[in-house]
Amino acid sequence: MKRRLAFLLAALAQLAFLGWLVADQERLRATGRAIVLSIEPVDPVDPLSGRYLAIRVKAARIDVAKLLPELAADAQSRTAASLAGEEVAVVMREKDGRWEPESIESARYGDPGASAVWLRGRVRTVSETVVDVDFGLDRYFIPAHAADPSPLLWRRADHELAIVARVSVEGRATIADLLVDGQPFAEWNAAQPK
Amino acid sequence: MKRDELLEAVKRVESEGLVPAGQGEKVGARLVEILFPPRDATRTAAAVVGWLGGILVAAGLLLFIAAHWEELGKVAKLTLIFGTLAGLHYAGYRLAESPGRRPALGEALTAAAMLLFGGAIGLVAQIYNLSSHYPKAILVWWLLNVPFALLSRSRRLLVIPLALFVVWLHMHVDVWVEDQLRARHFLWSESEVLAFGFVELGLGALLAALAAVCRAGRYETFSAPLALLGRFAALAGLFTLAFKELGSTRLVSPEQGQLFSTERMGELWIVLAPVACVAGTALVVALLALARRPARGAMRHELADGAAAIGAAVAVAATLLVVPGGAFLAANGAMLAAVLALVMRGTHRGRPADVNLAVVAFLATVMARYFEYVADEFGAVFVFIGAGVLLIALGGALERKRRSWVARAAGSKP
Repeated sequence: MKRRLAFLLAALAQLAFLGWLVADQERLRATGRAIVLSIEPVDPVDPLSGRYLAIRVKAARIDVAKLLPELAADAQSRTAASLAGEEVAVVMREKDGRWEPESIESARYGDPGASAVWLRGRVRTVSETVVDVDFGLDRYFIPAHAADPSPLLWRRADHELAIVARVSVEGRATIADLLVDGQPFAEWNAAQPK
Repeated sequence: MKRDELLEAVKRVESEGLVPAGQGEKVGARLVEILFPPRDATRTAAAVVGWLGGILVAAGLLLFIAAHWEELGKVAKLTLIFGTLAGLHYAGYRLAESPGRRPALGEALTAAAMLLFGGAIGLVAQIYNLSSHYPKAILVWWLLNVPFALLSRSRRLLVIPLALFVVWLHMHVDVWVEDQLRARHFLWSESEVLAFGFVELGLGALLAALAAVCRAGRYETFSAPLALLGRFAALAGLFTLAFKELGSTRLVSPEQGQLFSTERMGELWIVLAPVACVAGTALVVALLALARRPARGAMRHELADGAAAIGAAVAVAATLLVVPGGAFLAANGAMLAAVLALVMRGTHRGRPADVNLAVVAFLATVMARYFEYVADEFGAVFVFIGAGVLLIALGGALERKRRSWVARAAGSKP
């Protein structure tokens, strides 16, 4: 009896983990605030992971010098260097329908609160005054038979790719959709010649 | 010892009068029965076929979901994933455990479920466009599969979480070290490989400690494969650390007065921190093993292996700290000592697997040194010919020695 219960618990633990993963994402999508972030596709196809768009959110590369122009150059570099490897809170502001960084601070000093739209991430690299933040928003999986927007558009300046991210009040974000020239991916794909 | 040799030995004993005349044949047959039990070929074949079938079912279902990605709604995808996982676990349990009428097939289906769990995590991640900086999916994959290996006490099922654990550890260390080094100095690669070498030594110690915990207990069956993998991991670590050109310039050949500079110490700490964590865990596990007094004697080889792996890591790290250019020499020396120790223990204690592992490690090290030092000096043709001749000579010499070592090891078995 005990053995049966142990097997049952082990199997339930796996199912519960998957269930939690799904429920957490569904909750985030249902309750998170939608923001649009411009992206740069960098590596459109990976043979191991199937067809996904490897993306780099433009707002993930933050120039501290632009956010803190009042500081001297070496102080800006020092500020950027102090964030290396840190978990950070990046407060966002909307500009022309796209969201971009307004400020960046180490998350260890508390978060900006529910009134602000902000993203939680970890600083990957620091170069001079530019910090590269990992928000966990770096893949959009393309359905097997759908058109691939990346090879067609990513080198052309007259087209724009963006993602719709859902952001929770704790700064966690998930990709809800891909926008191709402002169109949701499903709509854009339906309009493509078969 | 082979069956024919055993029967021959019994005949000799009979002719010496130690066994009553006419009883030799019966004694020989009984000893053969005890020492060489017939293999259940049907069960083995059933297990292999079952495993292949289980893997095909799991892969097929994942492919079905992938191929019908657009037609299947989110709910259908998730129902298929959850339903298949639960169904495979249930069928595996019924066949292997209760009532357990097809244990080999049941084990295969449980294995398929364990593998499918990873695929299921990947598919859910794909549905929600999830990605993770650290390899958390593999962490959860091996962690939640461990209970099935423990509950079934199956060596074959243990392979799945064990292999995933080794992969996860390397991936985690890779991301952590890369994060630390890139974020500060844009250094990578060589120092990462150096960290891998140390971590593999720590992994060797951890697996040896786990083998010691399993020894003479409920999970005795896991002890041998864990210990073997531990020795292999430790030798792999020494093999990696034995390359001269490993590590950044700052670590291996610092400028005058920079030996104990803050930057060098910081980088050294980044390289050594992962092995410190793994070796620390190994020590805790070894203490747990030692707490079981009655089993101490049975686990002495595993504890010796673990201590040797940690000792080698400390020796190479200490050399890297104070005589940076000599770290690779320390690793080569430790490798040679390990090979000799394994051969001696193998021949004296009757452990042929130790001898074979030592021979393979020695061959790999000699070939690596050949390519490292000789290959640069000559053209490609001579390198190939030289490597070939070296391998033939080494193979011939080692085969002769290995046979006698293995024979001694087998003969000296208690």
